[in-house]
Amino acid sequence: MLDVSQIILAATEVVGEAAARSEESSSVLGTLGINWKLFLAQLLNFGIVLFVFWKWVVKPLGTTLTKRQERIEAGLKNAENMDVERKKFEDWKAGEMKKVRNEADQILRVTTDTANKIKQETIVDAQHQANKILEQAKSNIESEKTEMLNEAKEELATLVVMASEKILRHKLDPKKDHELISQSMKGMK
Amino acid sequence: MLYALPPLVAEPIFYIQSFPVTNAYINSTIAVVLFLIAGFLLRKKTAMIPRGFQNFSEAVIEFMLSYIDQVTHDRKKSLKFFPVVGGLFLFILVSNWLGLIPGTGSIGRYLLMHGEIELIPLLRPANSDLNMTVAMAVFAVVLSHILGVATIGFFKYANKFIKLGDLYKSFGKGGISIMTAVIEFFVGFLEIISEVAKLVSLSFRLFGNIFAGEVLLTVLAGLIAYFLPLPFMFLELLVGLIQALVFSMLTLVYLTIATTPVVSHEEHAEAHPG
Repeated sequence: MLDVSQIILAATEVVGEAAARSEESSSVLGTLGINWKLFLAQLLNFGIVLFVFWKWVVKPLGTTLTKRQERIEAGLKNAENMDVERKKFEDWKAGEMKKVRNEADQILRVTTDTANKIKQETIVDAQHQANKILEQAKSNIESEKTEMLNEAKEELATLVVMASEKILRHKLDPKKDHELISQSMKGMK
Repeated sequence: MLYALPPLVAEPIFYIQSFPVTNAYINSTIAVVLFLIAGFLLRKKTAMIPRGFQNFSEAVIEFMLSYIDQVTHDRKKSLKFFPVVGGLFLFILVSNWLGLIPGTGSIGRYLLMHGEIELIPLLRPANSDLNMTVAMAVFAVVLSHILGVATIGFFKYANKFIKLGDLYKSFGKGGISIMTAVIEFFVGFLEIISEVAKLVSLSFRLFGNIFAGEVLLTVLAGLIAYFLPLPFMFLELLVGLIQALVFSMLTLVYLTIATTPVVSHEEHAEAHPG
């Protein structure tokens, strides 16, 4: 294992070495290891990294990110517009519903009124008809009654005539007269 | 010496003609290959409803973009800088974390170094080589200047450093404006120095942190090989992330500042009287 004195010794060696190299190359850049060939090679390496990063990573992914952001923004705007449209539609729908309901109420009211009117008219008409039929019936009954009375009167007259004839044909005693009258009366009934 | 501390300079493992293939270079190439694989997998993944790897990558990208937005305050600017800043962040992060994979620093070739046979590790964290960090820093700073010139125009941009324009305008106003313009003219020179300082600070900060982490882990593994290095390895995970974040955020700030038009004191005073 290395102890601290050895580390110090090693560090001194490194510094001494660097100083020796400095004397050799007699330039600060040489001491620090700057070598123009290596410098250009490292610059080239770094250049390749930058080129790859720019051309293959930033360009495609950057474009994708921008496109995605645009799409998201457009989507959000669309959603906002849809909300506004939906609200408009809902307002319109509510208005239309109200209008239709009013119209329906109106129609119902008119229909009910008409129906009531027709009903009333029908009732009145029916009553009128009934009265008329009743009147007709009454008048028929009356005329039939008159007719029957006339017929009865005619029949009575005939009977009276017949009875008179019988009486006149036979000489009537008061007993027979009474009997005859009773028989005639029975026949009348 | 029982345990060799990693040297300041990345060691060449082999040469391709005169080009030294160092262990740090191998590591950075592995990172490049990983990026190539990830890029190859992602290049056709553009589904509107993401799944799996695409979903994960999109989440990472969105997270980084929202982070960048906090600095730029402008999504367009963020998208413009993102390939550079995001690429820097991920590359540094992957390179740093690759350095923690077992085998880095311990599997190697015995080569003749400084007159003696030494075990030279095949892998070494890419950012513990100054060539890598300087390359990235140079790229970041130069790009910020190029974008600055492209965005606000050459003369306006040059006026940030050499404020001859402001000085000329101040002569028309006279008095205290000349004094301010002269001071700002010299501040312009400080700006030029600060540009160099940006290069140095960016590259050395990253290099220093990663190299120090490597040295620390080597020393601890030398003291007690088991368990003791574990908390420090977690620390290195964190350092790797933080350093990637610092490097990329600073680059982002440089890019943002460079592409923001400068408002001089005079213009500022005119715009906000009182």
